Amino acid sequence: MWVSAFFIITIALYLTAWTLELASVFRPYRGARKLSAILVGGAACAHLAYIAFEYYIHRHSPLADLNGSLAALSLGVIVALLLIQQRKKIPSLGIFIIPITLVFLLGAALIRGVAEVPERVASALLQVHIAFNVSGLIAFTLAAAAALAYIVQEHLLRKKRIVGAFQQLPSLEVLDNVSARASQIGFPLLTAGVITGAVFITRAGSGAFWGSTQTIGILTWIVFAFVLVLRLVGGYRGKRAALGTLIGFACGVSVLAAYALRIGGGV
Amino acid sequence: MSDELFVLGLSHHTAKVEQRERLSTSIQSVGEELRRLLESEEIREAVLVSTCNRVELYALSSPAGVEKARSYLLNRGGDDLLPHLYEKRSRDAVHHTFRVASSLDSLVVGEPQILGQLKEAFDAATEVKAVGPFLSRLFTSGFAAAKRVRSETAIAEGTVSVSSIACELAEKIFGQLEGRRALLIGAGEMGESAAKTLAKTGASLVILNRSVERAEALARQIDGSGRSLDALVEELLKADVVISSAASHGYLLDEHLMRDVIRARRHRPLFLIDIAVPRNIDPRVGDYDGVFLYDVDDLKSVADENLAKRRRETLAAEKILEEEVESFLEWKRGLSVKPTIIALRSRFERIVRDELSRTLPRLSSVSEEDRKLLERMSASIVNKLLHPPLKELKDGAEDPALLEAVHRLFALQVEGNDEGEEDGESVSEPKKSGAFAALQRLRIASSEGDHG
Repeated sequence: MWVSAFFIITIALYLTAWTLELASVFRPYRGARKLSAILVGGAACAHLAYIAFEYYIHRHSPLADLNGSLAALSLGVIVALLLIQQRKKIPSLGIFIIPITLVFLLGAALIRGVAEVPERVASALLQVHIAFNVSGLIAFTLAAAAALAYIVQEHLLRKKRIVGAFQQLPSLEVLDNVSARASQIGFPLLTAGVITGAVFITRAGSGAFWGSTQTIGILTWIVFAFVLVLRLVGGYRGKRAALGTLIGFACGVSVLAAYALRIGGGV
Repeated sequence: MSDELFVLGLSHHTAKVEQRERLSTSIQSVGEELRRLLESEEIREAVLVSTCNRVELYALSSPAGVEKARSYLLNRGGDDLLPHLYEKRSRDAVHHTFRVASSLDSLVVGEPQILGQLKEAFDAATEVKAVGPFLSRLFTSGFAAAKRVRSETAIAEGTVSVSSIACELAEKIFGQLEGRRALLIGAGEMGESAAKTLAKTGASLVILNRSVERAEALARQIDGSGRSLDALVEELLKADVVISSAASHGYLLDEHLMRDVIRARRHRPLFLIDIAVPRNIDPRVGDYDGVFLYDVDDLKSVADENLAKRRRETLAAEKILEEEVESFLEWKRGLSVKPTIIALRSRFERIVRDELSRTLPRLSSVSEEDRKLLERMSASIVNKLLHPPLKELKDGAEDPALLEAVHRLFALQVEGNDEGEEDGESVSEPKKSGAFAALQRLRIASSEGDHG
């Protein structure tokens, strides 16, 4: 009962905060941002309580299977958002991040029990592998949200629709920097995830756990590597870099979707 | 006759700039002007506001003072200004003051400068002691009303000047502009204005012009550097923001030139503002990735849209002003009956005091405690007796018949009124500053009493 209650409270608070933030973009009013930040903070606490009760009641570790990972991933994204907001005061980033978080959180609830890890393959290394991947995905979610905000803002600027919502969104420079920095943080974490995954597969014996899920995982790594190299060497930035980041993130989400649907084999 | 608030002046609504400038005065000279105005006995308090869009005199005076003020202004600006002068009295004058402070009467609705200019004029008047309790209350209430309007409506939102919009857009692309490089091509008037706004953000400025001397002259004004137009490509490679306002037939920045420049810039974003007519920049350049091109019509349409948005907010702003005007008038009404209330209360208290001092010595044994008890009881009777008439007085403060009736019923004597009874209580209405000064004096007297 407690788990369900915290889950519902979390979802309700995220939705309210998002609605408030969205409304304040179109009709700014005093205190809306502060209230929205308080609601997101409250939602994060309820979210943490949900995960804690899940572990306490069902002995369900966040790093044991996919739904636990998704719950942890969504909380990590929100904590990262709160940290960014506290340090840099980037307005309206929550509009793009909260819906992604909600999708992850709803996914965690809906796919309960679908992708449980079999006893024979559960190991500490697997948990380390999941922890790296989840951390990498937290950073990539932020990068993707900033990239999406960049594309929206750039579109408005190019179409010369520069009153209303445009005025509330952050500058292109800030969004590009957040996206680049988050990708730079996420990439080594994803790399560590890929390496630990490879070691885990090797230890488990032959290619028993290799499948299309792992292939998409590698593709995710390649896309982000490509974007970062182009940023660093080719001076890429702006819309092209944002599109690359979104493609990479889509690949990362596909890995999760593939696990959820068990289409890729492996664990 | 009692004193009345009036506003006398002209503004962009009623007079052209050449007419306004004949009446305008610098803030340094305002004090001297007010001193001269206050030499007239009829004018009690005054504030003179002189900006590029209005010259207005706010004053508290007798009706004769209005004519004196009008003559004073016409003497300064010429008799032909008479049809352009407007006059507002009492409620209209209060409402006008609040509208001006809130920038609802400004040429550009919602502009923030007028509030600062009003405060400056008010300070200048205070310095020469031209402001008394009435205008002080009027202006501070006006400033508070303006603050409410700005915080509770979107009247001041959205930039409405072309150069500020250009600057705001640049900030939406680059974030902070400090350390960014802005290039001004041509040293025309509009470009100069935009460059000056950009310079305030901390961007470094380079001015390119066919005449290097002209470029350098402008560069000195805005702390930039001036170069010949020959350095165009070199500067385009380094710039973040380009404002083009050169007189040119055909495109100065054509697609061919810009394609090479954009390639060489390696995806660094570039904000191009073409405010020249005919245009300096090929519109196709705006299709390149990372290039944002705005012409003068684009900027103007944003300005118009923001201005229209501000105008839509004036309805909400007017509602706030109505509330604030009512609250001010309520204070004023209370102020006009205050001397009567004080006199009435004082008369009752004197009667009680006299009766007590006559009766108490006749009583055989009255302890100190009994004496205090009797005094308290008497005071309580006075309060209870006075409560209904005082309430009625406050509610009907604007009814002169009621005031007159109270004066006659309770034999309250208005100073200078020979018909009053000899032992009548005095309601001060002194020559110089009416009920307000009377109130001030009563306050001083009461504070002296406190110290005593």
